[in-house]
Amino acid sequence: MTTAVITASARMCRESVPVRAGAGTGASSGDWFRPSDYLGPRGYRYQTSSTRYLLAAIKLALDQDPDSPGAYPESQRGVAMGTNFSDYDVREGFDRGILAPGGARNLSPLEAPNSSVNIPASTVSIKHGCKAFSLTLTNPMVAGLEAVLVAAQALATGRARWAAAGACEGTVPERLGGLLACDAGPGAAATLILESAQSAADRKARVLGTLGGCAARFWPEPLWEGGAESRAAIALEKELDRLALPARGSLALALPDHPSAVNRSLRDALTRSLAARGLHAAPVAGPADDGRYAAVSSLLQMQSLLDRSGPGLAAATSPYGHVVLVALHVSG
Amino acid sequence: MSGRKVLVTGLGVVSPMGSDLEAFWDSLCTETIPPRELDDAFLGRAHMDNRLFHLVADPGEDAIPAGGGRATAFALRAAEAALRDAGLDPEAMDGIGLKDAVIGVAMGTAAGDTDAWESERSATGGLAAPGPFPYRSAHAVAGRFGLTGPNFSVSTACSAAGYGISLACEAIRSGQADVMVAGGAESVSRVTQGCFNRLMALDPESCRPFDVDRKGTVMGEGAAVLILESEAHARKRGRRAYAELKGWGWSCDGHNPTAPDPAGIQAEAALRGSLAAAGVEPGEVDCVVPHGTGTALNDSIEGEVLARVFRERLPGLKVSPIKGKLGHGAGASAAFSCLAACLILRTGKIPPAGNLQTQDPECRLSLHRGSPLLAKVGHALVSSYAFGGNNISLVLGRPATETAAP
Repeated sequence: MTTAVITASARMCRESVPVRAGAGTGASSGDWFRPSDYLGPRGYRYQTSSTRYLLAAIKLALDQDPDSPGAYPESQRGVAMGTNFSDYDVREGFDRGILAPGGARNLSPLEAPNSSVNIPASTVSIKHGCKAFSLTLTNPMVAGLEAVLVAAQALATGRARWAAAGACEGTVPERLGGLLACDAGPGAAATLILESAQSAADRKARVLGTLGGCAARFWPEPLWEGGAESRAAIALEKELDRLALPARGSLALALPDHPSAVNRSLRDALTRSLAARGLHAAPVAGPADDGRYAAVSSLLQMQSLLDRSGPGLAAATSPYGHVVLVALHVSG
Repeated sequence: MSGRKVLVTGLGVVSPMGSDLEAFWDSLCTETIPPRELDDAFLGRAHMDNRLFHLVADPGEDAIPAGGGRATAFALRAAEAALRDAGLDPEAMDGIGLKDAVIGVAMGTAAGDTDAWESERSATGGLAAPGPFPYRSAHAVAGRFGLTGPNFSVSTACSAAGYGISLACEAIRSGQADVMVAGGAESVSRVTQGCFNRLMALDPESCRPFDVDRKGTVMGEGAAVLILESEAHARKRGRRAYAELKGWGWSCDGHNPTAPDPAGIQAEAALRGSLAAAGVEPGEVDCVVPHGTGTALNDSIEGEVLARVFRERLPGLKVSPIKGKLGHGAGASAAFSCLAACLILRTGKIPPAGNLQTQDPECRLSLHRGSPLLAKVGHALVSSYAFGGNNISLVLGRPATETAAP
């Protein structure tokens, strides 16, 4: 099995770009993002906001390493993206058009493909020649971290040697903000560039971090009843054993904070279990720690792990019971 | 990827041709049911030139979970049937993985439960208010049956279920799970139907894969679920397998948001990759369940790709396009194809093509009409393609050993 390393990392969200004069600040405002700043003067007219954010984030990542991805043949490049709402505003707008007089004829054939939630990842595939695979994952909240997990496994099994992994969202519906007790975000994207460790070493690429073990599980609220003795907490111990965490010291922990029982339970169990292993969990802050960017939130927080050297653990939960864990070691 | 063998030990289906496995199979082998016109209950009085669709006849709408749509209801029904078929009693399951087995879920869908959002907008369809997330099938199945292993919701458009099944296989091969409930679910969607209208991708009469007069596809709905299990776990339970899932190949055209690469280079790469991963030579494949949508370009490219890979073997290679009967189940379609491949391997019956009048001479495939063919099938190939050029092929084989059910 081949290890995956992170060779670039970039984000595109309201908190990560300089505020421009006259830009709006409302939750649904897209004024903070000017596509021409990142994507050139044309070519994105029919793209959705989530696709634009994603392309911009990937451009920023590739700017950090101009030799990537050209160092690899197209058949060795893949893309894996997580999203929950990339198609939400598109489908809503299309539906309102369909329900108006004229019906389906109100739709633009050039925009119709955007009703498919995989179009952001597919656009990346087209633009950057990612022909090994193009995957879109959609589990609530955790899909972005799942995309990192799946891309790392694809590299480990030799499906590709280079992958863009991350997440994007367009308009996040306001009802999600109610669930998370925060303002729903206007949309965002985050991406990591992953390469097989050997390939990155061969081309002398700068390595930001090395991915360790990963786990994806489904532990709904009832399984957490009983605290340290709960079935989920016991199962978590087994997963932490598999992640090959360091023996002792400080471990940076990235876990978006939203008010679900699963999230609280996982945070408590991780803190308790890591302490029992001689590890001090040091939470890191991201640009939006409250989950407002849905599937992007866990990626934004994971990227914050890259700001400090040493071992780290990125985690994500959904209110339903999804738990995703990704261990990494950040290069000094 | 080497590792543990993956067997298919249970099947469940909810389809326009029935929601009982035996009835579904009999119908697929003997009948062709025409699509029907979607009424305003689905379309909300919206104008559409083409309203043809293959609806599930017995949707069991009382089973739609709170916040979800028809796709999740279909997924739950198909998963329960598949678990029972595999001898895993849904009411007695304890999937925590500490005592017995780690059981996970991987579901593919294109539009998820967005029909619930559409129902809310037009006050039609009779669905309850939608939940906050539109893709719910995977966690609904996990939550209903206590399946605590890996959980994936995949949405690579019309090849989603194929990718879901392959991720499930990889979870078993890598030891992350012993059993995976994997498949796809899709339901009627006003927006999807509208977009396919606007893209001129729908046939005004019927779905006619590989017919010279084909004019597009006809969409359909339903769910198909496979119980995937490590060989060791299946053997421990004494289960007879339908098939072994031996290999799968991924690729992406990277060509166009909707149109496939006319050269079919990456579709061919996925197909060859699946054979290589399975350790199966082209000459060992006896049957293909193709993507076969009835769209002009897809069927031409797929026919050409099969000709390039199977060469002189092509005339003897039986091809069974099932969308002529089921319609195009979008994100669920590869699950229907894999389920059909399992039943072909088990029964030796190869369903005839639906709505095939005059075969396109450019598609030099061995198709048959009328009655199912009887043949001993050692290996079956499933291919699935999608918007965005997301290609996947999977190779299924007869299980090497078949232990009797307890």
